[in-house]
Amino acid sequence: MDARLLRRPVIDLLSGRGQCLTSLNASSPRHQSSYRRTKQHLNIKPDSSFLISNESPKQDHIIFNPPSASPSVLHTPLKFLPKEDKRRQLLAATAEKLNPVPSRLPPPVSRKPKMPHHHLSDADIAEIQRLKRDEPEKWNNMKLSRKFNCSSMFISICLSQCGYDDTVTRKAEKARLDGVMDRWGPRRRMAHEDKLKRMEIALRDE
Amino acid sequence: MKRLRLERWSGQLFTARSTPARIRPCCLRQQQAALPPRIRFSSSAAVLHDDLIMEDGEELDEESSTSNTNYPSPPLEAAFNSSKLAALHARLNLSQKVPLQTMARTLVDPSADSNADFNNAALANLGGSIMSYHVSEWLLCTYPRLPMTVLFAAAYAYSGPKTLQLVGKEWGVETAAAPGEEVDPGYLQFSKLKPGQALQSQGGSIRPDRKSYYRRGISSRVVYDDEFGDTVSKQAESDLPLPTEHAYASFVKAVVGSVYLHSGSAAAKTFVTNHILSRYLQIASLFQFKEPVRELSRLCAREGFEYPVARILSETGRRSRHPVFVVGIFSGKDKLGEGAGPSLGEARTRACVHALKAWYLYSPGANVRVPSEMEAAGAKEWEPVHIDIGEVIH
Repeated sequence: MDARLLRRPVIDLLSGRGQCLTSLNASSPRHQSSYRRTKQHLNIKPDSSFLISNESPKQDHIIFNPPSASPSVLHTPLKFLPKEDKRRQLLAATAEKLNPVPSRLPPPVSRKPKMPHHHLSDADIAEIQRLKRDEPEKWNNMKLSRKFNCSSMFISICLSQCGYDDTVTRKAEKARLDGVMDRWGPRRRMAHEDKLKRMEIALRDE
Repeated sequence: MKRLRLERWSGQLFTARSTPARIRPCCLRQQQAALPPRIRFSSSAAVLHDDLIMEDGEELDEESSTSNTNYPSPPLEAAFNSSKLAALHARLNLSQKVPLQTMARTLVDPSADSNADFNNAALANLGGSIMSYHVSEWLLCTYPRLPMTVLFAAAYAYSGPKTLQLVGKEWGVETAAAPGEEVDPGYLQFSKLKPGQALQSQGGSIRPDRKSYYRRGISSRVVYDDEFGDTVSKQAESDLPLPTEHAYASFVKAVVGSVYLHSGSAAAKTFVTNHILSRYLQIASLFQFKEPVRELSRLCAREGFEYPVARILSETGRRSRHPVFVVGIFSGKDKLGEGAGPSLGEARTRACVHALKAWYLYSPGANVRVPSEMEAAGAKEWEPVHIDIGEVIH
C-alpha cells in the first residue's frame, strides 16, 4: 500500500470535485481503471540483482533470484546431517557466506520460552504425590505446578502413579465442558470444528 | 430343438482345440474335483453324447468325443500360437532366454489351475521375494531414517497389489472372462470374484498371537507380518476366487521370478529397477504426526542439540481476520524448520512437522549404493551406508 492511495481521498476532498461524501468511505479507491494507470501500477522497480552496477560481474553470469516459497523438506538442515556425511564439510564452508548467522535471533513466539529445568528432586515428587493424596480437592494440577514451578504436564506424569483415582473428577470436568459446548451457537461451533480440521491438516502438512 | 455348436463357429479363436496332441498326463491333476464348475464351450461338447444329432448331420469328431478330460489352463504348445503372448514378451523387452511357455505360465493363477506345475504360484513367490528385497534395500539405503510405518507404506506404494495391478495393466495384459483350456494364453487367467461376493477367509494368519486382545504393534509386524506390515494368511495357496489386483500382483511377481530364473539376478534387478523403482512416489506426503512439538524436543534431547525454540520470522495482519504468521524452529542459532499458518500455534505445529520431516527424510543421495551392487563382478569395495538408530520415541 503506497502513500498515493491513502492520499487520494484527501486530495479529492480538497480539490472540491463533484463527489458526494459517501464515496470517501469506499475502502478501495479506483486506481486501475485505465490502461495507462495499469501500466504505471505494474511498473515496479526490478530487483537489485537485475540492475547493472559497479559490483556486478563484467562477464556473462547467471542471476539466481528465485521467488519466495516455503522451503522444501528434502533440504536437510546442516545440523541434521550425520557426522560421516560428505556434505557436512561442503555446507559448513559455504553456509557462512550464503546464510550468515544473524547477530540477533528473531523474537520467540512465547515471551517466556518453556525450557525443562529438571530442578525437582525425588523428595519434591513425593511431596507432590502426598499433597494430592491428602487433599485432592484443594491441590489440582495447576496449583501444584505453580507451587513447584514446573509444568502441569510434569505434575500429571507424577500424579499418574500416586494412587489417587481421578475418574470422578475427569468425568465431572468433561460434563462441565460439554455443557459449555452445548450453549454454543452455530457460528462458534463451526469455527471450532474448522479449527480442529485445520490442526489435523497441519499435522499431515498439507 | 436343435443344439447349436458354438465351438464350430468360432473355432479359429480357440487355439487349444487346433492342437490335438496333449502333452500333459492327467495324473498331475490332483485337485481338479475341488474346482468350482465353470462354463466352458469345449467341455460342453465333450459331455454331449451320441444321442444328439447336429444341424449339419455329422458326427462329433474323434477328439472331442474321446477326451473328456479338459485342462483348466491352456496347453504349453498354445504359447507359440498366441500373438498376444509374443507381443507381451517383445513389449517387456525380455531376453530370448525367457521362453514363451514360461511367460504363458506366469499368466495362470492358482485359482485357475490348482496344479502347481502349471500355475504361477512358485514363480510369484520367488519374484515377490526378489522384488520386495530390491524395493526395501533401495528404500533403506536412500532414506535411512524413515519410521517403520512410513517404510511399510512406501513399500506398499512401490510393490503393493494395487500398484502391481497398475503395472500389469500398463503392460497391456487383460483378464480372461473365465479360465479354461481354450483361452488364448496371452490373457491373465484366474477365477474372478463375483460382484457383491464376500472375500473368503484364507484360514487365519500365521501369527502366534491371534487373540483379539493382543496388541498388534509395529515391532511385532516386523517379525511376524509381510513386507507391508499386513498379516500373512495361513493358507497361502488356495483356489478360491480372488480380487483382480491380487491376480495381477502375482502375475507381475511371476514375471520377475521367471526373469530371475532364466536370465539371472542382474537382469531381474534391472527389471525391478525399470518397472517398479522408476515410479515416482512422494514419500513426504506419507507422514502423519501426533505430537510434533514434543517429538521434536525429544529428538533434540536425544541427539544432543539445544532445546528447540519457536521464533516469529515474519507476520502480517495480527489483528485482522486473516493473519499470517511465519514461525521458524531454532535450535541454538540454527534454523531447523519453518512453517506458515493463520495462528501462532498452527504455524509452530507446521514448523515442527517440517523440521521432523527434514530429519526423517534425510537421504545420502539418490545414487547411493545398495548391497546387491556388490554381486556384480569387479565391484568396488563396499563402504558402509548410514544406519540410523531409529525413530523418535516420545
